[in-house]
Amino acid sequence: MTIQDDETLRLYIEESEDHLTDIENDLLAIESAGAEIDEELVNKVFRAAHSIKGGAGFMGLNSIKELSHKMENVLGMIREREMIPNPEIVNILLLASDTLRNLIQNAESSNETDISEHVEALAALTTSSLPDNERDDVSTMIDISFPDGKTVFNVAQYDISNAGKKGNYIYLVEYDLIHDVHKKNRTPLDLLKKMEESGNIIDCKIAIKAVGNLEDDTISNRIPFLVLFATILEPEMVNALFEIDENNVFVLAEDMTILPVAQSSSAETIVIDEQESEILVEEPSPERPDIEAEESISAVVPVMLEDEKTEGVQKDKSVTGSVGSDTSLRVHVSLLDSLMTLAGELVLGRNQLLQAINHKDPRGIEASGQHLDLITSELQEAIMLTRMQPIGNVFNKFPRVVRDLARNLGKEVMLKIQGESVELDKTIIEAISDPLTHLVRNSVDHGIETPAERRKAGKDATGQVLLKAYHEAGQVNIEIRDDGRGIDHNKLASIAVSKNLISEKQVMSMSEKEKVNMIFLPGFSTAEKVSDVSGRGVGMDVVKTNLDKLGGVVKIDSQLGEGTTLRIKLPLTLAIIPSQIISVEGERYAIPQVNLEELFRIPAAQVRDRIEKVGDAEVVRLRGNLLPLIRLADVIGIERTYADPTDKKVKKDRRKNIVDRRSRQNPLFKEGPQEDANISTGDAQFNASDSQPEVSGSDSATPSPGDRRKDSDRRYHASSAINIVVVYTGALKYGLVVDELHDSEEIVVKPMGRHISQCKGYAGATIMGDGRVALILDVAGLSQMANLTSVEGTDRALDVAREQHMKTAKDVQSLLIFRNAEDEQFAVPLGLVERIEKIKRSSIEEVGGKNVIQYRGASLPLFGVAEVVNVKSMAETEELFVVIFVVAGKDIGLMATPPIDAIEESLVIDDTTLKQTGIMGSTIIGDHTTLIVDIFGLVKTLNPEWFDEREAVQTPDGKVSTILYVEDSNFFSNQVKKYMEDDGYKVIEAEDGMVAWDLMQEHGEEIALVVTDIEMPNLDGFGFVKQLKEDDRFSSLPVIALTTMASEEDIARGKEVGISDYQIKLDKEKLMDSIYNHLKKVN
Amino acid sequence: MGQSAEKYSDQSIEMATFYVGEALCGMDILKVREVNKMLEMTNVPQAPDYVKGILNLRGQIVTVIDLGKKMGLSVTNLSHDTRNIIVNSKNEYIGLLVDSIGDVERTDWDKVEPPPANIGGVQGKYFEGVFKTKNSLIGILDVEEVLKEEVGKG
Repeated sequence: MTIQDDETLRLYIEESEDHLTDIENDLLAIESAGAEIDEELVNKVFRAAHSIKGGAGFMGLNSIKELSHKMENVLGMIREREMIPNPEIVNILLLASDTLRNLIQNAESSNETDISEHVEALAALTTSSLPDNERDDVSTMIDISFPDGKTVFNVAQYDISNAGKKGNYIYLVEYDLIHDVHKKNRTPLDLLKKMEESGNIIDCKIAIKAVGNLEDDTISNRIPFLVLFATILEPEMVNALFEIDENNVFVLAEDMTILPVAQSSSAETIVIDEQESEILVEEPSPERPDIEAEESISAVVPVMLEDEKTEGVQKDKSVTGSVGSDTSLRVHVSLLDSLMTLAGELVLGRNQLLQAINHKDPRGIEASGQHLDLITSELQEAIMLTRMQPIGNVFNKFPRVVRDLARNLGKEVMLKIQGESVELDKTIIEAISDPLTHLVRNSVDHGIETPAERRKAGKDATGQVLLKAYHEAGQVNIEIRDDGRGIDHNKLASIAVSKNLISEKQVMSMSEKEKVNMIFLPGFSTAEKVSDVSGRGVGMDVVKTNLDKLGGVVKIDSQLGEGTTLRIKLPLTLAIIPSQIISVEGERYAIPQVNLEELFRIPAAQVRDRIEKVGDAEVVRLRGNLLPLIRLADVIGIERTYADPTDKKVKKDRRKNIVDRRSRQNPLFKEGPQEDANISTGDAQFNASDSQPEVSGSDSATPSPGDRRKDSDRRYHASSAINIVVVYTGALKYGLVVDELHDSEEIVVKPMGRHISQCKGYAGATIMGDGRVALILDVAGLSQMANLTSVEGTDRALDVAREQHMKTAKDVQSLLIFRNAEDEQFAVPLGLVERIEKIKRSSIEEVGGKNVIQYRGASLPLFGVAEVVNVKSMAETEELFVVIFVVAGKDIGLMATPPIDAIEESLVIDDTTLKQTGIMGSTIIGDHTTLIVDIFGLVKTLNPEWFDEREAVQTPDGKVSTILYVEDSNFFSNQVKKYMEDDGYKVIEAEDGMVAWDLMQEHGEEIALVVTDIEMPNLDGFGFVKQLKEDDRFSSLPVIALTTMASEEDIARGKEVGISDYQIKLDKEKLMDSIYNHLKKVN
Repeated sequence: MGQSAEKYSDQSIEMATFYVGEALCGMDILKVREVNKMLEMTNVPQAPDYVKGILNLRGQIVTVIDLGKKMGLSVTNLSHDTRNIIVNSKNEYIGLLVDSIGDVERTDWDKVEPPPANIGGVQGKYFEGVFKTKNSLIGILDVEEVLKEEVGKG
């Protein structure tokens, strides 16, 4: 009876798999809903089981049919609220759905598979919750036969009576696969699907046996396909659905007799009363067949099989595209259309190019080249889109994984999933499934404690696991966070030592974070050993290796007792990756952008000060951290050369260290005030060149304290500036010293041959624009080759720096430095700057007494500092920078002369000595006294008419609103206080969170709004706001945080503790707007 | 082909011949995909020493192997005559760098003799046999054997 039609079978399998994908999560949702049934959901699962059953009957897949049928029964009862889903029931259903999936995947051998266990379990469920009088029905089989005794179907009494409830009619429909289906261009599955839409298929099969028995000419080309179908449609109308000869549609009477619809339409038929659930016998049908079986036996009216001329309305039905798990993909037609359009464009572009070449028209070639460039990028994007799939495809299996695991371990775990719709390349989706499962299992298994332990630790008995995906910087981030017991870094460290992965000495200098990250060290863990001791680390290195292969990066963060967070960064696609091109000894290499953190260049003059030696390792100071350096040439074993500045010959470079110099004390182990000085100078120098690594002027822009180098240093030469690519891979971050930095390019990854695939340092090869091959560096491999397992000192230095930072708790200011006259340095807060443009002095027009330039189709007013402030007049350089600000909703440009640079530093600002209109104060940056420009003051002096007076928001009883302003820096405190007082508010000041808290106790009633700094000694902004929000008296008070530079992370954290808004310090307008709006809202 | 008068059995093969150092070697011409002069290679530091580099052959990355070095003969020096024989081995393209290229010789497997005992040792395993023409002796290379990665070496 099996139809060996591959195409149909494949369609059926694909469709069934489609149905099954959601079944699991739906069942879990049903379980959690308990007695509060979501009927829609149950119905959905029910229909899924049902459709699978329908198709299986047709395909002769009896095991599948039986299993799905039994599932359907249970689900039907849940739907009818005859059974309340509890974990046991859902468990049985889940197990059955697993088996069902297996059966479907191996459809051809499914009939041999033993499913009795599931079938019995399901049947037991059905029986146990039935009223007594129905129990027997389940096991009682009735035959439905044609009058000549030919049994067509053998179904359980229960099914029939169930299907007949709610006024349903039961039909026996006989399709002819050849005439009704095939010739009408339909497929049997289509038919079944269509019927499912308006009723329930109880059973179906292909009655090959019936052919001979029911027909006179047995050779006739008919394949009867019988469907037992329950629907609410009445006999008169039902044929509109079936679209076949009425004579082939029969209706099942209450007494199990079968009548052709044509005859019975007038006759009374059906109906099974819902209440009694018993079949009511009504009028006997005209022709009564003989009864055979003991229970109740149906009969069938002679079928007029010869009559098959009638045709229903023919409908063109094309086979709908189906999803295949591996080999086929569902793509939106609009996307295909756009691909087609682009392909057309491409051809046109080629034609244009060919034509231009033939006519030797260089401009035409250029134009069509650009055109092709555009189309290629668009085409690339569109094709990539076709491969994109939502990560939900992977995430969706986790509720089940977590549930099962939690049940087995006796834990209570709640899984939250966010960002299922984030899309990733298909290959990546497939490849991350395993590592993710591993990590999620780890979180549940080792991370989350048992309910008892959790209660003891004062946590909620139910553990939380968060699975989250989001886009960031062109990459996809996946976060797995649990609130479990965390990782004991010390235990981890001692294991690493006992395995000889690192030395005791190394451990001493490691930070907590580094220790935790050792979990990824290759060879760190073998399942049992580590999971017994540390509770974590089952094959984490394997997870990492897998993610590395995908170009992914994994980071771990753990707080003992509070939980663990794993962050995975993945590229959107594998085939084409953005990369940084660098070169060493004339050969180009590509570094995938995923591994890239930043680029920076140390000017020759500063090399000595910036590069240190810790033991054997060379390190560079990077914002207070020590970053280990690896010279690419050394690691991959290329001979270093250098061009001798005297005779211009290329010679072998024999220097052992990047900086040849006398030994110097290791700053790591230095103590006392000396170190402070060291770190801060390191900062100052670093930032000057770092923030814009590719600004070529940065050498000259930076005042060079390194100029004090001795003249006798014979290797002093401009070309010995060092280019460093800062890369990271999982736990490691290091600097790769390269000869040259080139552009960032999108490269196509090509595999390498087998002879070189054993080289650790490369991830593949790519072909550059000029046709030559460049190797893609494998950042993790390189670090291994350089024996850089864990980095001594980097994070440690960070910790030290952080501690010091906490002690002084100064704000780090981002400033833009520029000049007006050659020897006067100015600065403005970087946060206020919209853009910087480079212009020629000659493009400035003087119109109506004001300087303007044409900029983006409008006139941009320009002004110089000297117009308001009493400073020297502007240097007469041809090239000028225009720093564009938005003040009072208008663009305005401040003229400046180079060098122009951005720095990030904590500064002591003197706001008295040099203060004047338009100048907030002064500070010392890089040995120069620098005036800090007050943009708002300047513009107000120049264009007072730009500013509207705004009324301060008053309290409901007409008084001036009071603002509590918390700020530790005098300079800001004075500035910002002035802003607020200018607008007419009363300001109460506090210098840190503690003082602010005390003031709140005193003036709590009066204060309408809090403006607070974040970085403060004693009690910082986060802490203060948290206290505030936890207190019922103040919980509704709006809080605005002031920062110098708000990172996404800070903002998220701020939102968590209850900060309503973030504003940048000194951005007067936005701050005042925000204050105004918040106060307005409160009143 | 002047030898067309000669009779060849079904076992006849055509040999592409080339010089590795002084030695004249041959291989089944059906294994050769192309012979070119592409010598613009990208070095692969860390690769085994017999890997001369990689190059781009119409969008595919080809590993170029110095045949002389690989077989333990002399290192191939790049010259005007140096050629790259591109072969397909285990689904990837590999370039064999040879000192110069010779004629295509037609022969019968019957006439191929086993390699003489005195080229035994390391190189012996690389030859399937030896074939004599009027004025020279051609060693027939077992390409797959030559291209085997040396595990643990390089």
